[in-house]
Amino acid sequence: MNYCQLHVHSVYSPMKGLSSLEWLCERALKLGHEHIALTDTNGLYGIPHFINLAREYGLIPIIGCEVVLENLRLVILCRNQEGFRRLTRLLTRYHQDGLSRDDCLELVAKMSAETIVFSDDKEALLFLGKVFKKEALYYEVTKGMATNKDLLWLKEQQIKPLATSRIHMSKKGEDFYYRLLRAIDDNCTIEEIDTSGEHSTYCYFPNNSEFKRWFELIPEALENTKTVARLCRSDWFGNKLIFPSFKGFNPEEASLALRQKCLDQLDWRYGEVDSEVLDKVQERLSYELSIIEAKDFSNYFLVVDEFVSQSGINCGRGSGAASIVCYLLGITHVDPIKHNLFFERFLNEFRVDPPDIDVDFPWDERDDILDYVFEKYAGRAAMVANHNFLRDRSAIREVAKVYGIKEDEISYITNRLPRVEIDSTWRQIITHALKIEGCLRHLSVHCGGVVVTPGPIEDYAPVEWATKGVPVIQWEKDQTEIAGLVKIDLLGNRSLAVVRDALNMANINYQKNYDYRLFNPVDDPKTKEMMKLGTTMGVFYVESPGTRLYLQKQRSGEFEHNTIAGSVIRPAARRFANIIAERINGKPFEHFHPILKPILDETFGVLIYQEQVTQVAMVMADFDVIEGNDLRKVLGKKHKEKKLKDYKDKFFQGAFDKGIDKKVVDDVWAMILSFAGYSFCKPHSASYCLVSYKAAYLKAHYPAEFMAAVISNQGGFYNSTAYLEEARRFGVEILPPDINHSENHYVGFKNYIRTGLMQVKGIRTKTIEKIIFERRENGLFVDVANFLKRVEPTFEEARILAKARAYNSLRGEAKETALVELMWEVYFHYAEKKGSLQYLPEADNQLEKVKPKMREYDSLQLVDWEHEHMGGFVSFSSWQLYRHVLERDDVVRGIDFPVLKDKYVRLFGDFITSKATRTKKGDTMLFVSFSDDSAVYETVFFPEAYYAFRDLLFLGGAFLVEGQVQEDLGSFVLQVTNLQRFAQNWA
Amino acid sequence: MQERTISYLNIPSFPVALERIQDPRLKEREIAIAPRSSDRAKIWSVSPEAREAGIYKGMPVGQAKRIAPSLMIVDPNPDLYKQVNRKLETAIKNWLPIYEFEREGKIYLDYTGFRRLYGVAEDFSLQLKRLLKNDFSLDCSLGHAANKLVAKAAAKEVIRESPFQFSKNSILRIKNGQEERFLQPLEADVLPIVRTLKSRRSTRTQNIFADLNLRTVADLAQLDRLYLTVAFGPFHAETIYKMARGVDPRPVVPPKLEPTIFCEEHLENESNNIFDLNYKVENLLDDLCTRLRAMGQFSDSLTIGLRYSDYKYVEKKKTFKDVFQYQHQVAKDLRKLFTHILNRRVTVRYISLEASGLRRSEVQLSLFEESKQLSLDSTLDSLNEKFQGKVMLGRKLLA
Repeated sequence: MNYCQLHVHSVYSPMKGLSSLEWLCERALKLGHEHIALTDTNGLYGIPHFINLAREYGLIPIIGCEVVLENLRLVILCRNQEGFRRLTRLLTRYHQDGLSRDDCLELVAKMSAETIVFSDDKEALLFLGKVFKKEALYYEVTKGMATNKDLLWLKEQQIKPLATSRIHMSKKGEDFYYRLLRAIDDNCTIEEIDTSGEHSTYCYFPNNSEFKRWFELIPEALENTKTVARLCRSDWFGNKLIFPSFKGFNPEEASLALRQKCLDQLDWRYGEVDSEVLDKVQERLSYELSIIEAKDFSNYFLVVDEFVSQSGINCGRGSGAASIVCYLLGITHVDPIKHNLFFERFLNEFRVDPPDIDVDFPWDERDDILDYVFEKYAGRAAMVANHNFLRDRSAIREVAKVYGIKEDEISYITNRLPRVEIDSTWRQIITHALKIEGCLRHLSVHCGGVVVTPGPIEDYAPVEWATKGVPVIQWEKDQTEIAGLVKIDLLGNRSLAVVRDALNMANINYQKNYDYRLFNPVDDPKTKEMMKLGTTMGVFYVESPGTRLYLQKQRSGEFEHNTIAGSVIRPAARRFANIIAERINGKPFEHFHPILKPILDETFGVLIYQEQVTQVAMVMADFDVIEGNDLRKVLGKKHKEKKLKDYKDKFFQGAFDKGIDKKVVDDVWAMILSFAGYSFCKPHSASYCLVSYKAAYLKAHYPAEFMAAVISNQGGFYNSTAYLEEARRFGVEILPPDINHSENHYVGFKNYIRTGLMQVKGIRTKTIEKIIFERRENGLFVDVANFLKRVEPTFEEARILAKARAYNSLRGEAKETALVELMWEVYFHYAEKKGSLQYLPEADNQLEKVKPKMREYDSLQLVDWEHEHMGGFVSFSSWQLYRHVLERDDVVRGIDFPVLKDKYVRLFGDFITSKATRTKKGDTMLFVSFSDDSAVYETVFFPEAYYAFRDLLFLGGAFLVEGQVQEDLGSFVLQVTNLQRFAQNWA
Repeated sequence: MQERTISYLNIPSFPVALERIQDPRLKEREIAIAPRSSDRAKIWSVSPEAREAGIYKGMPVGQAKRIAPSLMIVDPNPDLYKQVNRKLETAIKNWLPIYEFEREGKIYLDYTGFRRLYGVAEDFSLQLKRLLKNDFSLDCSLGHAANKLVAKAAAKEVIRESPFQFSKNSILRIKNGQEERFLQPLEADVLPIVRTLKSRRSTRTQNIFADLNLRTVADLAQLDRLYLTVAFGPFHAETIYKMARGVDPRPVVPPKLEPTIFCEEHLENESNNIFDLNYKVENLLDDLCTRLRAMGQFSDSLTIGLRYSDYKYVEKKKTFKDVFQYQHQVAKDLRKLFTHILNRRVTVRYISLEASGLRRSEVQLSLFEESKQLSLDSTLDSLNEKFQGKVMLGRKLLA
């Protein structure tokens, strides 16, 4: 074919393209094109995917971009890597500082040797014509865009024409959808959109005869497409991994530094082990270092180490925890030798993709770490993006808005689709939404992915500024990897902050000296008992109702078993949960095949960890490491059917060649397939499990300190009321907030927790800081007026504190001052301050007159305020409001489930949390946790009960729950048959 | 000074009452008037039965449905309520010259000096009740007292005591001097100033009563001026001081009547198509101007209003320097006005246009020939007169 398409927009043109990359490549291939360009608007959002895909289809991809400013539009194609570099710089400049027409043309003029530019802007072409060679500058001719009349002018100026279709749509007649996208983007109705000048009915991917016919009067324009395509190369893209550079070290210097650092740390980690273990350690270390050096990864490890050293508390996640180098550097804290962690899942000599070390930091320290990264590597680091596409519901919502449907109705319908009756307008909306689904809406920031490059980052990828003020590249994590950029995940983790705070409090209150990095409680009996009983509310990773139920079934406190638990509760392996629990408790089992024994023995014959897929494929079907790893990766991807079939054939063939029975191969393959969901590798599970043990240790030994830390750091699985309730069950007393005693956060001290002022909603951090500062500097507050004078809170804050009873310590020992009088004092203070009293006649303005007798608040009012201003009940348990229910003879307690097996019972239940899931038939069922005065208990609502009671459950609050107690491997669940909600009569 | 007698006529749940007349099946059931399209829409009005079940005005529909699953939601018909209210006004006007519409279905009547004509206030009330029952099929309660505050409290108190029955008993008279005693046990909300403060946007004023535990009128009445000033500021303190003691000097203010010409269109198919909507507005303007000319009137102000499909209503008024009678004189300005208020993408269900500032021509006749546009309009008017309004003109000619 002697022409090709050079101006093509895909769904990666934000709200300006309708065609997917797959469709574009398939179409180009079908029409016999050799080349295809991708020129999305003001960005290279889809370039790495595009290059991969085009290569897969046997096409030659061309990297390009349509730069659109308010008064300029031109298309730039990259001829080589330098051209790409200049283009990314231009785009970075555009997104970060904005570009004027003149600035943009100046920049483009500088890339004359490395790019090809075309446009229909005559002035711009004349300007660029002064520096660009003739074969690199073209006048863009497009059918339907009123440009064909200018041929004479072209001849005069000796500028060549170039035929394009400015492809925004896939097929003819999709104009409406393009206008729809524009209307969504511009926040207007479809009639108000004017797309003339940027779009015509011909902006689709034409077939060959159409394209030829359009330009039969200017055949030169067609021929030029081929000339241009031949000049543009992209074969250099993504061929090399781009690592950060540590202190400018070359690979040899970095290797030496890394080796030395590891050797220095040997004593710290393995100072007390015997010589046999030490030999193993040294052997493993030199093996790992040899691979790292051979692959030139040393710089990368040193950079990660540098980031980690900014915080004393961290937890390595992912396969990196299998590396002894990471363990020695303190990036991870699980001993890979002791726990037998498989290094090859992380790195091996055949692996071509970059290593991936993910590190968790306490959530409140992560931003500081990122600040450090961006300061230290200024101009060389940026965050990885997330691409937000128009997906089903969001697409429907946006189209409905263009149709003028009111917000409430949109929510009503979209929340209930597909189980809602819709009229013809809605049918139309949904049909249109399906058409525009998949278009890039905007970028957001990946939660922790950072890319650090050896040179300026804008030479490697276009960079934008995210709203939160950090630089972000235009690619999400997969495309970042395709482009060869090595990502480091720096993630925030609340539980690490919980462990940190609880350790600090324990160290102070009990004069201990725990060090997070060396603290290893896996053999502590009390901790093991807690893990065994599943009383792990608040404990990292094992606090959800599902996991706690599983722990009760498993009944084991062993670290290895609980590492399995961490993996088994993931969706991929969940259906094996009961099997594992039984086998841990001693039920005999046989492996599918003896050949699998060495691999699956530690997980009781079941495939639990990701790396076991690789290992099983290697021993059963003779896969090599790379193939085994690929199989594992394919399992976790979407649209994997085609690739997976190849692996399946190979797996079956390999197994048959080894003489393994077909039934066994079928069973093992079925087990492998169960990994289609999300599952963990063992190092990750072990790393997290260690944090769980640390948290469980703290809860078992220092419950007040631990629970205070859990609530202070927020964001756990349950709300603070549920955690306070749990603390009470551990014998801890909860004290209400008080201006004379509370800190900002909750503070645990041996057997009580003092509610933090952070719990009182509506008080500014500034005020809380001032309260604490003023108290420390000048002593306790003596009365309300004294407090208001010294701290100067706003009126609103002062009255909220009164309503939250934070002035309690000012009421006198016998609480002789009524609460309402404290509130009057607040009002008097601000009235005087405002000067309202000066207008009163002298006779009226005398406080000493007879004081009216104020009516004290009734208890329900106080309960209501506590609920309103503290987001739940703090000073008492919610069940105390329902004593009359608990005292009924027919109401049993959650703690008594073991003696009530199979009985129909009735309980009081305060709603804690719920989790919906689907039955095999596709119906919804719900697991709900309730609590009463004795325990937290779990219930299940099967579909019938779910549909009957979901509206009631949705309201939350207190219920009377009826149902049958059922046992499953030693754990108890109530199957709900009836539910009544108590009116919140305090409100 | 003659002692005043003020009556308060209260048709409880006015919209519900009207809907029940339209559809008798709604009687004695839990009804709420609210847009049915969404669970988050707020309730406009509730029947006494629904109120009994815990539903109140302003509650989101979804919440109400959860509380009372048998609750029937009826779409509001604001234009019907307005229409009936207008008729009610005409009827009342024939009886008493001094009346004040507080809201739709809630009227203050100043009966002072009418005893000779209609007898004691209670007799008059019975006549009024009969009129409402016979002509409108509506029930009401009435309160009589020396001022607006107490009269309204009395009318409401009667209903509160027996919400389902309207009989002779639903009339209550508070004798002079008894006001303070009557008000004491009632909730503080009975004082209009309290309601005003509670409905303020500012949460500060909303919360004073709960903060200081001031629940009844008695709680307020025991506070002297100092305490009231501390709580409410010097401005409101005096009003509350008086009202808590049953003193309310507010007069009954009859509505100011100003002639206007009003056109409206309910869109059969709700639309957000700017072209369609502009066309409708042009048609309304045509209609309005034709009526102006037929009446020989000129106007100097136009008010355009629109109701979106989520019942949000917006309107804007423009006063012109010169009076107008022909559409081309104001078409451009009207379009600007309309574009200004049409600033959401939500579909529109209703458009209205009102001309005010009406006056007879004071415009000097032109010495020269009429403009083509004017002669076209006059010709059209005469044709319309001849063919009884059946003449249509293509839009292009108008533009």
